[in-house]
Amino acid sequence: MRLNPVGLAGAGLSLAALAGLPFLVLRPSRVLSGTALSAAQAAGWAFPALLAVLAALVLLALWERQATAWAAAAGFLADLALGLLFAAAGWASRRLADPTRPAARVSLGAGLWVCVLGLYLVLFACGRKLQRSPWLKSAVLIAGPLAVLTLLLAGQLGGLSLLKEFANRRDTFAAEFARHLALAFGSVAAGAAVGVPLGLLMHRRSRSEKYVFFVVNLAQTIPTLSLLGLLIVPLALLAQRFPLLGSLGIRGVGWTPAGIVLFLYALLPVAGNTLAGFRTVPPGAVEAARGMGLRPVERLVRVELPLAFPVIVAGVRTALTQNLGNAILAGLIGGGGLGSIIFLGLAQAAPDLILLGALPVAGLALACEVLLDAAVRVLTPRGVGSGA
Amino acid sequence: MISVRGVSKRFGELAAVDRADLEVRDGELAVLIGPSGCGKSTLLRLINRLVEADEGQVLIAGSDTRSARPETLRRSIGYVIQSVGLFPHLTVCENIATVPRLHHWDRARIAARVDELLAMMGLDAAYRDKLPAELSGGEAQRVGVARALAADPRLLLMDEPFGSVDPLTRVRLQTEFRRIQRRLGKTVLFVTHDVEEAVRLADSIAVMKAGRILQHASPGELSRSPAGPFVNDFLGSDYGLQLLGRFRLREALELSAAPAAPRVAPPGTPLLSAEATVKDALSLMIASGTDRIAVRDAERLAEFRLADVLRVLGGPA
Repeated sequence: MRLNPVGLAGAGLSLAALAGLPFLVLRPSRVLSGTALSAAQAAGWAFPALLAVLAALVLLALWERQATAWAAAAGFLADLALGLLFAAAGWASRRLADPTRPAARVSLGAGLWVCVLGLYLVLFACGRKLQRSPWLKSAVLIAGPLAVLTLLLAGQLGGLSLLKEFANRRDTFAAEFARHLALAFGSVAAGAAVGVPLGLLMHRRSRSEKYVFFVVNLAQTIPTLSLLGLLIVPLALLAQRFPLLGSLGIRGVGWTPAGIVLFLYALLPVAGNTLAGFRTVPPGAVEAARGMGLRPVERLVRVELPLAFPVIVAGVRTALTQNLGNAILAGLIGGGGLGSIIFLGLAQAAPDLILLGALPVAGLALACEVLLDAAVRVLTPRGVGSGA
Repeated sequence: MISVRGVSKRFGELAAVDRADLEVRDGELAVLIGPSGCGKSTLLRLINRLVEADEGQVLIAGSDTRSARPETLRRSIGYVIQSVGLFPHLTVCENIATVPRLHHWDRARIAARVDELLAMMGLDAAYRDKLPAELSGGEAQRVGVARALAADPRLLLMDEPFGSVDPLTRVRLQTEFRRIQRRLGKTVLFVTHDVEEAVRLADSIAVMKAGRILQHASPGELSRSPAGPFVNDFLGSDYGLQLLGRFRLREALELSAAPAAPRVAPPGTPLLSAEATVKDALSLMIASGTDRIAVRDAERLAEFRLADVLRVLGGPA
């Protein structure tokens, strides 16, 4: 018998949270605090089912066996628990709705969130075990979130306060969501367009390395908010001096400084990984390519880029995950994005509005991680990374 | 085939190659040998212009190497290095096809050529789709040689190609390569620091020291009249023994006019195959304390005696 500590901790945490912490909170209005309901009180039929699944997970974690089968079983069980958890919450929220008190809200309680955290730990542990079967790993990691998304799209969760906040802001949410994506993806695309050539430059001219890294690191070292502040004055001056720029949207506040800062943040991971990627190319392969008469461009395209590719994409993935989070700060300077919803929620002390901004950010970051992981796998040439 | 005329290359203060002259005939396997840092690799790389000469000129088949773009020149010369440098993301087939693809050969011609080369290297067709990571060191170097031969260059440059494989595989690769080189009539310039390897392969050996070629001669000539103490010391006191490694017992038996009539070796006489070398034979005599051994080939069982050893060296070496 072997223990899986992370899996056990996650499963145990979920079980304890479900049994001991409030599952839902019933509030008189969206900003007032309310009464906590335990899962046993609120979840009805789903409570014993959830208990059974989580107990099974704990048993599995205690009894770790042959890695792949064990991890897949535990992972899918955690996915099932995740789906059940939200199905129960949605069902309970509709049962608790009181037509005579339209302002009342049903929020998700600490128990549910801790339970989700525990299940995430289980999934993480399973993902680690499934490194050797990448497709199964992706399936395990995606199935649970997909179940929750299905419930969401099917309107099963409509009774929850979170979704009521969404219903009130349907239009702005869509616009801010799109703006968030544009900021994160646009900055990373620009960062890659500049960062990859910078990495190549550092590789080919090693004397340029310290200068490039100095500049790129500087941007990374200055805290995001300070950098935003530092940009306000020069950009405002530029817009004042050249009205054309101003009319293009280049101003001290808004999406321009946010985009610039995010772009600078994307440079380090992309350029750094590009350099590291080129350094993984065996010197013998480069020497042989030269000796056989490949021109510099042919050498780059046929030998160096394919071999460096996985490391470069890993850099882009890091930049994207990081910028999906950092783009929240655009909300502070009028740059839009999901950050503006979060900061509005903070200003109104409306926890579910904060969540409405924060949850999609977390979801996006996780989804990008999984998707780009899969993309690297599909695009990586067969012989790379196999110890060659 | 190759004419190196007064070529020099300096790296800062250091003269890596110092007014080197070298002539390599068509179909000759010439070995550049010397201690590390003597400039032998630099001289090799000056020929395909991976290093550009400061002065002097290199002619290949009569034309100056600087008359074309370096890439064009290199595509017409095979190049094999110690680390092999197979492209890890490409299959054996794709690796071998590198230069033919640069020459825009059509698909069918490339496929046929790859099959031909794999067969020549003693690798069966299953190796086509393997990746370099799936090959042993010896197999990888066979593919490296096949890749260098792919577009049928007349000249091959080899920089310690068998230096990183185990001794047993090295001898096998050397033997096979020598046979293939003879058959195809390729001109080869081969860099090594291993005297034994040089003696086993070379038609001629050029001994280098501090950027200069001290002597370029046949292996036998080097032994009979070394050009000075350095050449003598570098070749080593066992050079004569190494020289014996050049002769197969099959050839030696013809040289020494051993009786053609089959003789039954007395029981207990040590036995060697006719493919073994005279050096092996001498070694076996010493090890077993006898002055004769039996040599077996397909048709006969002949006797080879200690006295025959000296007669071998008397012949052209």
